[in-house]
Amino acid sequence: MKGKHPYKTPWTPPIPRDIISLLPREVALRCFRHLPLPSLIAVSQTCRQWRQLVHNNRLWYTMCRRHEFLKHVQERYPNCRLTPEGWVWSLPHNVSGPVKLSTAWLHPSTTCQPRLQRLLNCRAQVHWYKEFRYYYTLETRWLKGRYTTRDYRGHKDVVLTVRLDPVRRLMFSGSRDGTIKVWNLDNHRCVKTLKGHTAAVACLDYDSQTRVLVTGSWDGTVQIWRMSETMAHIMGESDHTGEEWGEYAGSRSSYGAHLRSRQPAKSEEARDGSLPRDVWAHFTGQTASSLPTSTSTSASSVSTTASTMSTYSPSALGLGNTAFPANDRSRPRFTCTHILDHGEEVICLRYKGNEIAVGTGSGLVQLWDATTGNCLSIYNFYTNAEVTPQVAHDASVIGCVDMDSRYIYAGVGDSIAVFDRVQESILSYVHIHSSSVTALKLDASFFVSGAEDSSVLIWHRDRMVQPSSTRPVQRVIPNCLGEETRESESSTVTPTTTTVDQQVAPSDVAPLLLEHDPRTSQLEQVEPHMLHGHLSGVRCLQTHGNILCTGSYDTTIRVWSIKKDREECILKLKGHIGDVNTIDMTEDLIVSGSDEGVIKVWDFRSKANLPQPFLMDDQGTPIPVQAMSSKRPKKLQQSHTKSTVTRKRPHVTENSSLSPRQPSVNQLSSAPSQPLTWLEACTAILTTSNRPLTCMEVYDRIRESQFASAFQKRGKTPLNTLNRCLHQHSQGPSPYFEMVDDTVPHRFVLCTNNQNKQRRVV
Amino acid sequence: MDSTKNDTDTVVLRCYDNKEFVVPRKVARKSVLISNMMEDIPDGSGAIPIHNVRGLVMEKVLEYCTHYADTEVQEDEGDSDEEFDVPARTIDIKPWDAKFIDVDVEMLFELLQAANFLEIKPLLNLGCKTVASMLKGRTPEEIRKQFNIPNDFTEEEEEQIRKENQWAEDR
Repeated sequence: MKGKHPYKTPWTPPIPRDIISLLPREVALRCFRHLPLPSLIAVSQTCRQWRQLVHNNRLWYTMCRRHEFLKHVQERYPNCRLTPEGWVWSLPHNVSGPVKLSTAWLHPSTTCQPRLQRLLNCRAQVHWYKEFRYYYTLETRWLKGRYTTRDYRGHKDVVLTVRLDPVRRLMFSGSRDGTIKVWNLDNHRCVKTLKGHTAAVACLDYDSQTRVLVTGSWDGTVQIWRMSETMAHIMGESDHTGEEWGEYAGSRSSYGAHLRSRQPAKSEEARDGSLPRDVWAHFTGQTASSLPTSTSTSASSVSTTASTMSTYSPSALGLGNTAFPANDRSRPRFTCTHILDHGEEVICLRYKGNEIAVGTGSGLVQLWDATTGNCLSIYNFYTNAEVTPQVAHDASVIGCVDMDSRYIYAGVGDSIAVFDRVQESILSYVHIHSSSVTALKLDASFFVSGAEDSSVLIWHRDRMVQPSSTRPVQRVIPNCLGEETRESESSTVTPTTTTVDQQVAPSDVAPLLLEHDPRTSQLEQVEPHMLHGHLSGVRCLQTHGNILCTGSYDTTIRVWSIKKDREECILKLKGHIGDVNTIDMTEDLIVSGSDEGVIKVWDFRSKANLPQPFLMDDQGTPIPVQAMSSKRPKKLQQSHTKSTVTRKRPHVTENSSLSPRQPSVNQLSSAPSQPLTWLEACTAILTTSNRPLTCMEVYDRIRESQFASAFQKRGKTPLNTLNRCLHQHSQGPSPYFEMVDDTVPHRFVLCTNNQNKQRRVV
Repeated sequence: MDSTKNDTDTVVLRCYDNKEFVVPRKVARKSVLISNMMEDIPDGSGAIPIHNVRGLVMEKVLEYCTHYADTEVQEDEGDSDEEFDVPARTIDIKPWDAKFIDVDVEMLFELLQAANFLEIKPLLNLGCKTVASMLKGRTPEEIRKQFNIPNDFTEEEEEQIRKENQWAEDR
């Protein structure tokens, strides 16, 4: 019984007034967790002890959560589970605990230096304070409209579609001139022009996870492009193996019509592994005439700007998603794997979860498998006799399409059609816009549609109205049939009239959108909200998190903040001369393409760098490392002075603003100034990697990481030194590293004893 | 242990200043600590000693427990992160709670300690919210005055901190 008492001596009442300092730490923090940000800042300025209290990871996790920043952070660590304490848990390891890099991975005979030992035991921790500061600042910039713009010129005709790869900071754009261009958002250059379509590229979609780009054109085809992943593809053309080419040629021949003239001889040559350069160049878009920039980027491909790669390095320590070497970004290679022939204009497409939904000019939505290139099904939204809108404007054109696992949503003329893939029938035509529906987007928490009548409508999922649970599914369908009759009456309304009142009045045209709620398995009816603002038709829209962007024929872009209880227009971006045809966005930028053939990038980032996780050893002490700024090889600094001016390079060891009294930071600064050796740095990098790395990759990661102090011991050719170090230590009686196989470039892993071998390679 | 049968019974709690309280088991069960101890101690074996709480504070704590004796406590109350999704507002505190917690800083402090020690999550939460509302909307100077804290920053440090925190005051 006595064991239950944490205190041995009886408690004596103190007469304090600073109750926060006297309370148990967790109680004090509990008080702080209830505070809004301004008060928290005030508290941190009160006294040293309070300031130290505020510097608590869990407290800032609460703040990140409250401000809904968690998903942004999670996006940067896709394979990890983040905990309130900030430890990064790798998903495959979640049974055994936080990412702990076991010493068991090391060769038993290896005698580690103590410091090396420490590196191997480290764990990674997210700084919630830094994360919060970063995203809060970013949010402020959105709200205050602080951005920089830049024009990307290159297309010879109207830009019809753009799409971003936020992970690799690339942008894809399709134009009426029939080309697709790939842009590097860091050095603002066009890195590749993909030619293949014979008519305007009307739509494209991209998935950064699978690195697949799907493009649709008015020439009636959809092409699937796969972007290269590994360094091998860019280090030199000689690395291309015959197999790959054979595969490529094979897929090509099955869709032969397009490139038959070039095909026959090449596949022969390809088999012996050598690839004719001109053909290669053609397919990869690297024709000599394509762009002058491509040659200049290739020249610097080995030493791509330190700044660009470090501005976005989610996988700096191998914790993020599969690493995509920064150099790759300068010259990604694209392989067209499939050409899907539709025979009629492709107007819109959506690529989601390995399926491609393609909307055509004659009311068809086709569903394709992105890997095999097979057509899964064709849905006719137009000739479905029962429910076809009779005279609706542009009724035959699928203006836009989106889907989830169960439903396909398509803008057919001036209505939104909802197709149930399970029941194989069209559930409803939602006739709510008075003119062609041009854009719709299904988001986690809402559904948005925009139309040429200048209206934007938003349905909130969590605002679904009550009675749904009692209403059987069948009741809904008569409801929409009833609407059909009304639709035919209103079909005389000319498309140009924007009768706003008529649209919102729920009694007249009941705004109806069917939503599927997985929990109740009920189809529900929701009332949309209308966003007013655009003076002319809405052409495109895109959402990210709580922000919605709409581009319009009135040449402006509007940015809306979507809150649970209201929507408001926070920004109006002017700059385009022509119609804004297409828009895409990430958490920190908007890109828009317009009729004048210019793509504008509206960049909301501040100078602040993305926060990096810290490596901590067993005792929770940060591993003392040196700042890397001054240690960067001179060569690199020179070749990239231009980019370092625009964004100063990060530091993993950047002092947290709340930490002057932190013991950990003191320790950091008082750490012995001995730089890490190449061996130590390599070991650390390879330990944190979940796959074999090439010398180049190790080099890149060292440079991005807190181990950059290894550069202090650099020679004139750091890459060579590193390469020599890796090779040297992978030979001899007790090697540190191990070469995976003999293919060039060599890839290394940490040397292990046999029992751990499998685990590591996996 | 058959809780339904015993809920009508009473239990004796003895504070560190030897004040004794006879409370129904139902009330005592609001505290996780006491309810654990009740299970360990056989019935009728005398008073349960509560070493860390003064009689005066205990009286106040029991007032709270009695009021909420019939309210079911949610399992995870006070531990879920959702709770902190909205900053504390005084409005969130129920009228009875507000009246109950309207005490001087000393008493609030002791209540918090007692709630923490006795593991009464709702009371702990109430106290924390109250402290938070005392801090909310105040400048550092006002907070120092209220809690009688000396300013131990040097002028340079203060300047530096102000600079560092600028990102937060930009809205």
